Amino acid sequence: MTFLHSKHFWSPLLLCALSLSAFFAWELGYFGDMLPRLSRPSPTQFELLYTCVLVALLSFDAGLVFFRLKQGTCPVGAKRASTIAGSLGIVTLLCPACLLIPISLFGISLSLTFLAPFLPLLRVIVMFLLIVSTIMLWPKNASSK
Amino acid sequence: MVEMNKALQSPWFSVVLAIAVMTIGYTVYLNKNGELASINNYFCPVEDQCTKIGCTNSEACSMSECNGCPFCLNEAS
Repeated sequence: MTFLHSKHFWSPLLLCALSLSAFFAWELGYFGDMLPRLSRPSPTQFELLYTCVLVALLSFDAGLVFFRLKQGTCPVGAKRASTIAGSLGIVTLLCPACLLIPISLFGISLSLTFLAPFLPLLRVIVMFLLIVSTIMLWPKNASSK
Repeated sequence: MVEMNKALQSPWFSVVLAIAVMTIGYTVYLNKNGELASINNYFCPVEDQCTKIGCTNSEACSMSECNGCPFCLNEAS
């Protein structure tokens, strides 16, 4: 596993982990009143676990993408799939079902309530896409060593 | 034809197919009673937690613990 010894893997991974942790902490309301907060309830234990796995997989994928870019190869599909999974992950943590009546975001929260029954499915799809992306991004010559 | 063969051989074809099957399966599961997928089929995960704390009346909504509870959100709007 040569990529584990490369700074081209660890630098983007750590940068991504830090920025994503800060973003999701804000989204889940951990910054309190320091920043404008979303009208969402306190996160459940499952949501916290889901966020941790999401941040870990997204950061790992970011590290692998940069490592492979430095090597001169990168599956564009896996990169795009990780981006889609990350964006979907952000949507699934908004808890639209608890925002039945739009308060601050008006049209946006109204459209998100439409997705509410599909939240569990969206979360499964996000995890599925991230796992597939990780497998696709895994350096091929590293596994044989 | 060549483009189609290329698309069919791509590993992403299986991924898209799996997602499509999951979506159809889940929609069928949601509609098993003949009802259309709607907000009524979804159970808000924090509803129990909010009820336990007692965030079910206007006075309790002033507590920080009740921030974002469905009852308080409905009251505020």
